[in-house]
Amino acid sequence: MSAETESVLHFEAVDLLQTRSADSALREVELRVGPGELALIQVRRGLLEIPLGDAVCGMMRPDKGVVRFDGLDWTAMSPREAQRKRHDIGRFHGDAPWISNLNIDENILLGECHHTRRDEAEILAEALALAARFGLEEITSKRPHLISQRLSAVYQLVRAFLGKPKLIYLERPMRGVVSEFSEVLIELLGEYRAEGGAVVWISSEQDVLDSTALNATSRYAVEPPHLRAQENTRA
Amino acid sequence: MSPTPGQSAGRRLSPVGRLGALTLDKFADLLHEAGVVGRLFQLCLQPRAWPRTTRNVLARQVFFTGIGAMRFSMLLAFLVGVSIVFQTNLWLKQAGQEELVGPILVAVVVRGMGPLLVNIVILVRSGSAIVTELATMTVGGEVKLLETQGLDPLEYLVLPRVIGVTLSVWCLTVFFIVVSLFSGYAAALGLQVNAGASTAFLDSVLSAIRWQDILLVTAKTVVPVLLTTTICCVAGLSAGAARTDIPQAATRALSRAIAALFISTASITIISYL
Repeated sequence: MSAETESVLHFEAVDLLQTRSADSALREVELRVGPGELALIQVRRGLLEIPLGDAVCGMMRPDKGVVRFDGLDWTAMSPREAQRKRHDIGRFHGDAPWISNLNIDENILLGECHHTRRDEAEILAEALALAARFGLEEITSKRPHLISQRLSAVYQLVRAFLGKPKLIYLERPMRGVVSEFSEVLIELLGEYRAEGGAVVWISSEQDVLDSTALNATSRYAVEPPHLRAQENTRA
Repeated sequence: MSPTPGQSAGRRLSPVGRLGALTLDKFADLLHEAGVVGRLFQLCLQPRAWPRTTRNVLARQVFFTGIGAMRFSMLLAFLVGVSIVFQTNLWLKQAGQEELVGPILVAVVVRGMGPLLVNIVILVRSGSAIVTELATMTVGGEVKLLETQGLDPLEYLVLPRVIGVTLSVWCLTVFFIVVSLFSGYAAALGLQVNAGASTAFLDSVLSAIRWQDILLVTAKTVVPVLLTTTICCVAGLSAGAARTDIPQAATRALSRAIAALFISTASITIISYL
C-alpha cells in the first residue's frame, strides 16, 4: 500500500504564503498523519492565525507542494468531491465558529444533515450522547452570541466529533476556557483514534503540550516560516 | 487595493478612457450576475442541490418574504384598489365608456402596477435584508465556515433565497391584483358611486384578461425578481473583510437592483407590444 493511501493527511513540501500576515506564512511544510495518529503542533502565543487549517480542508491552494487528504490531492478534486471530503473533517475553529443566524443545535447538526440522509433524530441523539460526555444534559437552542465561551467550546467539540469524521482538526480548543473538560476530550480522542480516526491538535497551552495522556504520535512546532518536527517524532 | 476605473496598470486614463473602464467594469459585473443566474437555473433542476438543509432555508425564505410581507402588500393593494380602480370605474362610467373598465384595469393594475409594486416592496424589505445578512456573514467569516463544512454558499445561501423570493413575489403579485381589483369595486359600492353590478364588473375585467397577460405578469414578476435577488446575494457575498463594507455592499446592491428592476420591467413591456 502506498504512503498516500496509508495517510489520512499528508503535506508534501508545501508552501503556504498567502496569509493575512507575512509572519504566519509557512514554507516547506512536511506533515503526515495516519489513521489512529495524533499530531500535536505547538504555536507560540500571540502568533496570528496560521494557515494550516484552511490548507488541511482544501480551502487554500498551496503555493508549492501537495496537500493530500484521504490519499487525494485537494487540487485534483472536483468542487463537489471536495465538498463531500470536507465533511470527513471535524474542525474546531479558532475564530468565527458559528453561523450567527442559526441556533446552536442547528449549527451542530448542519453538516451531518446536509451531507447525509441519516434521520435527524438519530444525529441529535449522537450529539446529545457526545454532549453528555462533557457533562451537558442538552444541546441548547440559543443563538451562538447568547452562550458562554466555555459552552461554545464544548459544543464545537461535539460538532467536531459528530458523524465520526476521518480527521479531527483542533485549533487551540483549550484557549480561554477552563480545562475542566480536557480529560474528557483526551478520553474521547483515545476512543476515536482506536477506531482509526486521525487528529491534528494545534495548541499554545503548556499543560496540553506537556500532557503525556495525549499520547501524541508526532510533535511539531511552528517557527515561522517553518513547521519543525520535534525530537522523538517519526516525520 | 484594486485599481479604480480611473487608473489602469499604474497610469492615469483620459476622461473617455475612464468612462470606458467604468463601462467595462459594469459590464463585467453584469456578466458575473448573469452567470450566477444561469448557474442557479442549472442547480434548481438538480435534486442533489436540494438537501434538507437547503430546503429549510427555502422554507424560511418563503415564510419571511411571502408570509411576512403579505399584510403590507395587501394594505398597499387595498390602497391602490381604492385610488385607481375606484376612480377608473367612476370616471369611465361618467364618460359613458363602461366597456373600457376591464381593458384599462387589466393594463394598469394587472400588467403594470401589480408586478412592479410588489417587486419594489420585496426589494426594499427582503433584498436589503438579504444583502445585509450575507455581507455580515462574509465579513464575519461565516461563509468560509460553511465552506469548511463542505457546504457550497451558492447552493446553501443563494439558491434557496433566490427561489424563495421568486415564488413569494409571484404569489404576492396574484394576491395583490385580486385584492386591489376587489377593494376598488368594494370602495365604489361603499361610497354609493354608480359601480354597476358585480357580475358586470367581473365580466368586464375577466374578459379583458388574455392568456398572454398571464404570461406577461409571470415574466414581469419572475425576471426582475430573479435579477434583483441575485444582485443582492452577489453583492452580499462579495463584501470585503471590514465591517464598513456591509453598508457599502447594501447601497451598491440596492441601487443596481432598482435599476435592474425598472430596466427589465420596461424591456418586457416593450417586447410584449412588439
